[in-house]
Amino acid sequence: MSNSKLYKGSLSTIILKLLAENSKMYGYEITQKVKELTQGELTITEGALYPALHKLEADGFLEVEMQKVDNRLRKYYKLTQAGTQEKVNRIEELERFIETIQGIVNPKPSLG
Amino acid sequence: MSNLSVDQIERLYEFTSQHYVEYYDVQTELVDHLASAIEDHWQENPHQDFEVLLQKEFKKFGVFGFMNVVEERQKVMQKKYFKLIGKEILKYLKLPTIILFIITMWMVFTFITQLKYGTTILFFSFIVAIIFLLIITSIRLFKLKKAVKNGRKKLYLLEKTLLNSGQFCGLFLIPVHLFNISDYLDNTENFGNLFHLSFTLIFTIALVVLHIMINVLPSKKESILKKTYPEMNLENM
Repeated sequence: MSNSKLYKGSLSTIILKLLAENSKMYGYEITQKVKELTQGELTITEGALYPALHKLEADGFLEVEMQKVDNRLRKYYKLTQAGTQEKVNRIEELERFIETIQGIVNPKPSLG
Repeated sequence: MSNLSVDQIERLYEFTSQHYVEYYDVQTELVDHLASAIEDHWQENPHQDFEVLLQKEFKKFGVFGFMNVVEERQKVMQKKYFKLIGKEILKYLKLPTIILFIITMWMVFTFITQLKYGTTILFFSFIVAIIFLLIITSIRLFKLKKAVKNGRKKLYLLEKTLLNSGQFCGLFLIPVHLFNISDYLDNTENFGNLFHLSFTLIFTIALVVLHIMINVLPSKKESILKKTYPEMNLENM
């Protein structure tokens, strides 16, 4: 998607959702997963991903786990209990938003 | 699929450091990201040049490079630091340290209500103490930076935040006009005990916070760091 402004507000929701489905993920994996799921339509920029991950971690929604992979260290992110609850709230919020936008962009013809 | 060599990983650490990421914990995450991306490129075409791919991946971070990542991480660690202070304050308000807290309060209260220039003396000692502590933190930071420079130590963001309490102590110095207040307090008889009591409470809490920043947290540094950075245990593997 060329206009990244459209998804910027939903970035942390996307992260929470992906982590809920994959138990633990590392930064690069998240960017690739989003690309794969959206067939390349949506690309998360690296400059936005890590600040978002760190913010979620500071808010207590994510916890980290380190693992040695090949000859380097890898930082995995996992949802905390608070994160799981936050995911539910944010997804609901996003769905409502999508519905609202749909109402504007594609209004249903009224019968009256 | 070919993986990055140890030298190439070293080069990535050096690259992040050249791009203003001085903290090892932040570097580690970025190194893994860049390495994973480069290895992905190699999976498609193993003959692509490492340096060319590195530049290509770095560009994806945008015009500010790694700056956003570092800044956000700093905010996270600062928040964590304040939380640690909060936790220690709560511990202080339990037995047996609460007794110490009450004794300190009583001393402060006696000082400002009984002595002629009590408040002025109190403030003056407080400011002298802060200056002294600022010097201590500067020495601690200097030692840490020297160890990092000599390659004996890796610089972790939280470690610097813990030792850098001097920058927060500096905040206590901002209300220099407190001197005027103290003068006013010493020379005015019209303040009730409630005013003196609230003043005493705030002053004592300020003392406790200072003590936590300068003594308690730095003394627990190792265990706090190990808890925050599980990679410290993995490094020697």
